[in-house]
Amino acid sequence: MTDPCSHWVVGGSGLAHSGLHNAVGSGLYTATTLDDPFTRLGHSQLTSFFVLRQAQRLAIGANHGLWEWRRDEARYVQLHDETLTEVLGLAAVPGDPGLVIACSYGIATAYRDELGAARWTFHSDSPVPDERFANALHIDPAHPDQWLVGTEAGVFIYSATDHQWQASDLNGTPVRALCSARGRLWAGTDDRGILHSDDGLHWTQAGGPIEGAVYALHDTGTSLLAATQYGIVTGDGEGPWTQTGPRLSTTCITSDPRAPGTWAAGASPGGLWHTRDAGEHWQQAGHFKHVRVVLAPEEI
Amino acid sequence: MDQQTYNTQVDARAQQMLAAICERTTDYSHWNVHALMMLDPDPEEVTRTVRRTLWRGTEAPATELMGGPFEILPAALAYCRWQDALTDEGRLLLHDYLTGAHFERGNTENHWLMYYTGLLLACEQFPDSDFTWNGLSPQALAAEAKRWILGTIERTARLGHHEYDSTHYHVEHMVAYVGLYEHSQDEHLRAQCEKKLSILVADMALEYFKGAWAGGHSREGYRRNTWTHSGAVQPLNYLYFGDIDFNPQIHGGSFDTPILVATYRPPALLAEIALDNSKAHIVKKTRAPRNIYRHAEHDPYPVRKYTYMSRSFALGSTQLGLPINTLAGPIDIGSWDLGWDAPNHQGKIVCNHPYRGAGRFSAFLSGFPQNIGRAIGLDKPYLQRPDRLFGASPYERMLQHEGSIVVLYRIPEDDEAPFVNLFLPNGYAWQEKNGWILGDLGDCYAGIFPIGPYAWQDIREDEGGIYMVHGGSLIDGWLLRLNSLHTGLVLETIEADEVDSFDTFCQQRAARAPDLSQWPDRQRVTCETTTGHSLDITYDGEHRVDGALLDYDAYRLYESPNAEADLNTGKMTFEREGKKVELDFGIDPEKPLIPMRVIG
Repeated sequence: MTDPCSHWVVGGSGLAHSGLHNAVGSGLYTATTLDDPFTRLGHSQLTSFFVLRQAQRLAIGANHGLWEWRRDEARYVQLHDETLTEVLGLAAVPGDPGLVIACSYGIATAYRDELGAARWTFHSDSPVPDERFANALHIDPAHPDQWLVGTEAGVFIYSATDHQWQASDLNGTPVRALCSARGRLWAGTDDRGILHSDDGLHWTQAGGPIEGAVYALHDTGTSLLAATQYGIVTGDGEGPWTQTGPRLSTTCITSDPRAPGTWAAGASPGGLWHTRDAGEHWQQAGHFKHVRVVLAPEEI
Repeated sequence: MDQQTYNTQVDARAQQMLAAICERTTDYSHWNVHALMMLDPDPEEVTRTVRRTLWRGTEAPATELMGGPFEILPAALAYCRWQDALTDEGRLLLHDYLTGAHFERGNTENHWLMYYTGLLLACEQFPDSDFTWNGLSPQALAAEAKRWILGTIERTARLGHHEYDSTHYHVEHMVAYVGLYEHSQDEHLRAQCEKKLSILVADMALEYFKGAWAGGHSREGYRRNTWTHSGAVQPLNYLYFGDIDFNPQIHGGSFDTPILVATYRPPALLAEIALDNSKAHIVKKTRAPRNIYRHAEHDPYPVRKYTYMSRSFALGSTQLGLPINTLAGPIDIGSWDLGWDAPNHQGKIVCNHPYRGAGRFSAFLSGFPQNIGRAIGLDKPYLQRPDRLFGASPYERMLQHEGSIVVLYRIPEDDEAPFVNLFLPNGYAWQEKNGWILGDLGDCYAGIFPIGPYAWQDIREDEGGIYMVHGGSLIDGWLLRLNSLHTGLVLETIEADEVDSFDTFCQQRAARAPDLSQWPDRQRVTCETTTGHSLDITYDGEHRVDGALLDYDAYRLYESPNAEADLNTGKMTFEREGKKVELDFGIDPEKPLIPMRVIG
């Protein structure tokens, strides 16, 4: 039996539809290796946008809400309330349920009410919808109270201590990917390629131009990878980015820490692809048509 | 008409509709199985229906099943109404499904309403069960459902309905609130639901025109907005108003069936309002702002509707309240149309810019803007057809006064659809004079002045057509393609008995050309009506009638001879000939509203 907290996890579907009108669609799938068949995790039909893996659970941001898969109970538990939906990004914070979320209505945190339900409080109050719409969220471990938010209008920083927002100089473009790597912060944009920053406020172009939007970023340890509108690019963040693999709308990317050179990427549409030789050859895996999440095996 | 007489009439129509459902149905759905249980109870058939529709013919345990709003609500309604009549197996199946299957909420107001209604009823029925699919207790789930349902009712009472006046989805709201009114164990919730039902029926009644729903609609999709009688609301039109011929194929058998077996009856006064076409009048409504979450510089303003209910025609329009420069185009909007009583395809005039830009969907859905247009178009190709006659365009503006309207478009050069579609019925002998297209529609006359060049085409689409279109069951008429980026039209309709003859109307109308001297350069068009009024519209600017500046912000929640209500009060009055229905939702206007997280 696979363990979603330590094995491959894919959020995707075999059909184009979200599942609402066609209850055989989306869900989370797991496999021990990329050669094994993927099996559906439970019987949820959620369309995942982001999965945060923690020691005892997967926290799943999805189209119609927020869920967790509890490792000890092997079941889904609802984490959203009537104010939370379309969850695009997640990060861990202290407490219970211990999450901050990014969604189309902003960012929010939660507490447990007397019935044990998570009740969400939104922290985004900009009058400009594009500044509220949060595509991505990243908390730099070095600055746990400074939450980096990738919005439709650029990167903003939310201070969790004094609840203040600060605009960065990366603005005027949607930001859908954020991460920490190599001692820096990185952001992927719709029309300006990839940028890096030391403080989240001031951003510098990273490497050469990239065609199309950047949807996800990942550091293998030896290469930076970006999932883009027109496929996967790899580089070091200084020189040019090099295209690798099929020209797909690639939504997510990761690498297997146990097997150097093994990368996996999801595409929507296009399904799940992987390489075992650092991008020399790519091949499809699984039965997916749409993939928005892929997590490599790891022990947390 | 007194309430008892009205109730008796509705009872009779409900029985007629239920009988027609049973007569033509062999395989019942989880919606219309109520008809069978009402007229010829067969609990074994309910069990078979549940197996077939909810289990989809499998032997899987309920915990492996899935569903959504369209499953959880009918399953809950079937259990609540018929539990005493069902077999043990039937009760157990519904219990297992409602507590074990994994349910999705969806993303529209009708989705969430049906989901939360079904969930609440299930939690009330099974308070000690483990809702295994969800992990939260039934008490926690019920509390969430009540917060959303009561909060949404309050939003409607203060701001106007969100998924407003939808010819298609209105019935899905009605069936949920009827279910709560009939079955919920919460007395306060039931009382609020009864008032909400009065609003929903009043919304129908105020713009009811001889079997049709006049005016603007938040959602009138499925390419049927050129039909004389359009949408799944038709069974309710027949049930509650009853002035149209019964058609067993149209009037009943789907989402409406649980309503047919319910005891809920609207106030008789609302039917009287609906059926009174004796005097021309104006209906103004404010509706909740559209829910745009990106591609906008600010949040949308409230929707303002203006509908002229004349004796033989109805002309309605919408100030949609979208931010200037937004990319958003609410996908199923019917922003304006002219309707009159005529055979299908012969009673509507409407135009539309078939906006196809990426923002059309990604302003309301969270998929990537770069490919969401194609993704949605795969599931619902009718939403991206170039001949589309419904669906909002961010480049449309309009001004209406009584039976006249000016509709303007300023379409960007790089738009995928550099034109506007104008639908005209093909059953009339149209005339042309001085640029006006003039039609004798029977009891009324219409003149249309297309702005700029146009090409006269036909449009004919058949619902079942795969290879050849031999008929036009879906759309059948003339399509005038208004072929310029800065286009639009002026339209005037008047009652036939208010002018000497059609020829006189043609002469009067053709003698007054719209003043296009400031269009498009100064974005302004003015025109005079044959009845002596002047309309003056500046695109993204002032709207004037007879020189007076219009103030849409002054619109109340309801304003008509039969309805009045101020915004944010939760109080409203519907009246006719001295009789009144007064509603008071008991809201605290200082209390924050529940956020609207769904589209509609």
